[in-house]
Amino acid sequence: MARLRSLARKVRTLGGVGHHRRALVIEASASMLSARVRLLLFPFSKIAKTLGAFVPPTDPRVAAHGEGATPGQMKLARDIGWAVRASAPFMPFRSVCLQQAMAAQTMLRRRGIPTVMHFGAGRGDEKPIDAHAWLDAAGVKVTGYPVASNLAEIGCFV
Amino acid sequence: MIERRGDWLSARVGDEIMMMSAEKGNYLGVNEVGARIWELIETPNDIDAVCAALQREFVIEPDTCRTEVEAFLEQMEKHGAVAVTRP
Repeated sequence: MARLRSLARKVRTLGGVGHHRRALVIEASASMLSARVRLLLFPFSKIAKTLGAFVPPTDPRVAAHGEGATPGQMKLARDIGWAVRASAPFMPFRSVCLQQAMAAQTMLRRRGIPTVMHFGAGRGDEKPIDAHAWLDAAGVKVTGYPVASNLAEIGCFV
Repeated sequence: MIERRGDWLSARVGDEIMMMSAEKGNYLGVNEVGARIWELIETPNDIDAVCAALQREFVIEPDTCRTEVEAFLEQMEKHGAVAVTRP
């Protein structure tokens, strides 16, 4: 509870944040923590089963994911993306792209909005392979954007 | 006979390909020649046919080609990306 109060205080420092967005930031923080714990406890191969079907970027489900999305769903997707990115600096761990994508996916699924989680890689400057994860929903770029030009998209979870 | 295995997906980045397996939770980077080998085994293929194709496309001696292809396949087998049935 002390942590939650502390978090709420941090959240209030975000200027001009209304109630809806404040609630989303709190939920985003919880989802991010949950993603972090899952990644610590389970190998990715196990987590992958919860993310969806792993398909090539050319799979028709990828392009079709946003069809029929309502303006309300699009706004929600944008707000959730904002909330996840806004909560990242407040987490007690480094909130990398995969955790953000997982947190946002969880929040969107909770609201019945389908997502596409993209994975790509390329040669890195510091590491042999630079890997990245980014999320789309309702035709909206949710997390992980912009995607660096040296990366090629390899697969998606739909 | 050489066959692809698992759920590896790939994407070209310049001359190379990047590969990912959700089942393995792993990424692989493969160079130009390895990328070509990966293409050549899209349907099951044998090492003689793979080497013949590579010798047509790259400047390489037959013995060197076979040795390098064997080494590449061994690595890929360790990553669960191919299965090699040796006679």
